[in-house]
Amino acid sequence: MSSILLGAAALGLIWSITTLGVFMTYRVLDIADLTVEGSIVFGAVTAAVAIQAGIHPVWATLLAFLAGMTAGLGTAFLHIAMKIPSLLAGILSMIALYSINIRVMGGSSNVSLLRLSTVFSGLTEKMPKNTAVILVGGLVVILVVGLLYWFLGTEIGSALRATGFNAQMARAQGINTRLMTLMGYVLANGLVGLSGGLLSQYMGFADVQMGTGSIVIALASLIVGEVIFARKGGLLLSLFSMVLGSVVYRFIIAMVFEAGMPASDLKLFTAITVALALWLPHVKTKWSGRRKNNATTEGRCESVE
Amino acid sequence: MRKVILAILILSLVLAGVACSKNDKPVIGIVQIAEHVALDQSYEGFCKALEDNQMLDKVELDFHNAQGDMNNLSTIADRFVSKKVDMILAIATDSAQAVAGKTKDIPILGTAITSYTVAGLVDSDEAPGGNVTGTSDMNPVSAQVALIQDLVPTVGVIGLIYNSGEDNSVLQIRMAKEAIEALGLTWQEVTVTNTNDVTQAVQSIVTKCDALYIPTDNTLAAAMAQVYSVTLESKTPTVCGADTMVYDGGLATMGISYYDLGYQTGLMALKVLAGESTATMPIEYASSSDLVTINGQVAEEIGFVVPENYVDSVIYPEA
Amino acid sequence: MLQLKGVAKAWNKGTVNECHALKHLDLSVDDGEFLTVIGGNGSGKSTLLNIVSGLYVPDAGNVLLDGQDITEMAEHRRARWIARVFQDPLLGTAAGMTIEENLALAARRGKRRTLAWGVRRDEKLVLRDEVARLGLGLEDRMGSKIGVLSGGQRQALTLLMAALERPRLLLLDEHTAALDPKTATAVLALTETIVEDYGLTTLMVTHSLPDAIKVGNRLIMMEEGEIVFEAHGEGKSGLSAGELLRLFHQAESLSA
Repeated sequence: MSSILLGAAALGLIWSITTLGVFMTYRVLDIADLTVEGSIVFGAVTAAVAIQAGIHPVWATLLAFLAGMTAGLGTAFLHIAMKIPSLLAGILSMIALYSINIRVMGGSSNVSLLRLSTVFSGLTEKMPKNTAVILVGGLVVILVVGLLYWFLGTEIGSALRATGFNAQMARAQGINTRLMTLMGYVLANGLVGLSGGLLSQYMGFADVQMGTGSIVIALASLIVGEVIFARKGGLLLSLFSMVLGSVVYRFIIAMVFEAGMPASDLKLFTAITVALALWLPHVKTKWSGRRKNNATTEGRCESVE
Repeated sequence: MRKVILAILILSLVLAGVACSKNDKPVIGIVQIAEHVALDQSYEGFCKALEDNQMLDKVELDFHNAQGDMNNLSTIADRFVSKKVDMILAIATDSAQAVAGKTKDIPILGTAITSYTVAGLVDSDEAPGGNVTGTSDMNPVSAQVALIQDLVPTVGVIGLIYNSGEDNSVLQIRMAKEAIEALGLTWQEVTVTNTNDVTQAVQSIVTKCDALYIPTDNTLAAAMAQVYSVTLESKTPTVCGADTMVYDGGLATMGISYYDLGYQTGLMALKVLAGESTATMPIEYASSSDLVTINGQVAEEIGFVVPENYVDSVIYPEA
Repeated sequence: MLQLKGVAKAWNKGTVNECHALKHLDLSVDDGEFLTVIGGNGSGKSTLLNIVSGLYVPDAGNVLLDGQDITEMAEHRRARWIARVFQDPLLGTAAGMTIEENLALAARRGKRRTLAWGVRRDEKLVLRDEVARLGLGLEDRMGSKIGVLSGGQRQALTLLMAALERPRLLLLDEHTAALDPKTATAVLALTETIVEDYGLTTLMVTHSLPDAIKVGNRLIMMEEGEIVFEAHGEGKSGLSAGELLRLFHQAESLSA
């Protein structure tokens, strides 16, 4: 029993880094970026191949972060320089990365880490694997959230946020919105790559199919997180809600399995959950007239000055 | 909404608690990566082996299909570990890797996996050394060599052609040579490094042999058209490692049956349930197969007469 | 300080929908001038503004700011010297960020942004004082998200943000057009105050004839991409809306 809970927590923590990445593009920059499906595998594969080549797992994990950033750079180039709409740019990157990932794996579709040491290895000797992953994963997550929170509060970070809210206004304030968008893509996918690197070390292998459906998982986690912490809070709370949302999502999946639902129904279940969660804020607004975190512009109060 | 989520969580925990109650029968957890005919057949074969040995009703089967999602594999593996199942059947490489990553204690039987060593699942085929063993779906080289003699009873020298840079081919050729020698026949070999060399290589080998054997080699598979143009002239019967190569111009092949492989795995599982250790149980390869495929067009063109018992195996691929 | 020389801009060239928004326009604006631009739809007044701000690049001609040719310069780089208030009150501020954060962004207009903290502690008081100038009570709500404010409040803030770093040129693009009459009047009054207090060179596009007469010290009327009438000083303030309207129609029929 506890294995299921711990497993969900471990997987959830690792995935929360992807969710944070998707938060950057989807919420902060207001771009739907599908590169995720490719960059998470790119990170996973890079870390795996690096470890197989004898590189220390910690460096391999950082390489995964770099790999993700490169993927983001690719999409940014397609979108910003070649003016391809963001949705398509992401899809093109995702498709291209499939081939690239297989190349990195030397032509095969799977790289095994079962007999090699990972970032978790030091601890797995002393405790169950899931616990080790929660500790290490948790540490990385705290680091990432801390860094993100700090970054988004800096001048550059504020400029990035402004770009996402209102690009026209940002430009009028002297912000190079193209550069900000590029930064967003790179940072977001870097996080996704990092997540992938940790994922392959957790699962014990990297497989080219690992990323399938990851954008839906990330979005579902993002939305579950936002719904749970629906009250107005600061940026830190938003970031934290991404992490919690990811863990809770994994939790729900694990429970669904336990309750006997076949995996084939899982996708329908996810779709319904996400749809409900997306609809709920509107229902809430009707009831109480309040608004969520990332304020929308409808329902502005027309007060007299 | 928060309350609703909380309610779901609590309810699920309760359900999970119920599901976790201990059972008397030994539990076999089965995890399959995705829906796929071959994989489904493995499972069917496995169950049949249990049934034939009166064990099917004496065990509890906990089957899960991950629907192609690796994360589900992780969750399913967690479930097996938490339930402390007595054995796990992992169908396909990813499934086995996922469960092997979560437990070093619960015996894991794999099937529909090509190379356990490459997948990092075992120390070696002969002595796995851990909690993982099983059957491999590697093409049955020795059975295919035997097919050559079956189709061409007068064969004396078998020609071998492959890309020496492909690990998988080197392995298969080694097995082929052993099988050929075991049949009391001799072999001749030629190697290539890329598709450009193929025509000349084939031209040279067909003068030295009565029949040709080509393993599942990526380079040769891509260049089957070249092989075909030469063997057409020389009228050399060519047995290949995979049916796709036969469609592209080879004469015949013998494939494995995933159902039979599953059955074979079931037999191994029974041994493990009876107490044998996985660490010393070698990986098994397909022991028999009857999925013969013969390219009827090629047969006609090289003047090959299809034996009575293989008439049903003849196919005519689209031009 | 601002010079437009022979600026021309056409849309859908070579097609049946071809329209010449600006035809060989020459315009000079001196330091300290408050220029109002009026004209009907399609007169080219918005295009003029957008070319100055950098949203559009002209097909021909040059735009010079204090002698520097900025014709092809990107919008965000021009923002160093040119500030802008949009017609849409929602466009000038970032709804999801607080008043304080928006002001802080404006305070960095034209400066290099680094990894320093977005809103420095010492800055907060300064920004608060600036907001207090508006006299709208918003200085007590510095931590509120812009999204909860009304259009008029947002436009007032946008105005403040534009003027904050004393731009060389202030562009006002029909910035009261989307507001209700009462709010529009308030914002206009605020505009005059700020322009005067900060001594800003201003270009204001408006469709309101009374506003165009009342505000500023120079007026130009545009029709079909050209300047057809100009007035300043006494000649401007002495105009009545009726007269202007007559001149307006005259210009229209001349070019029809």
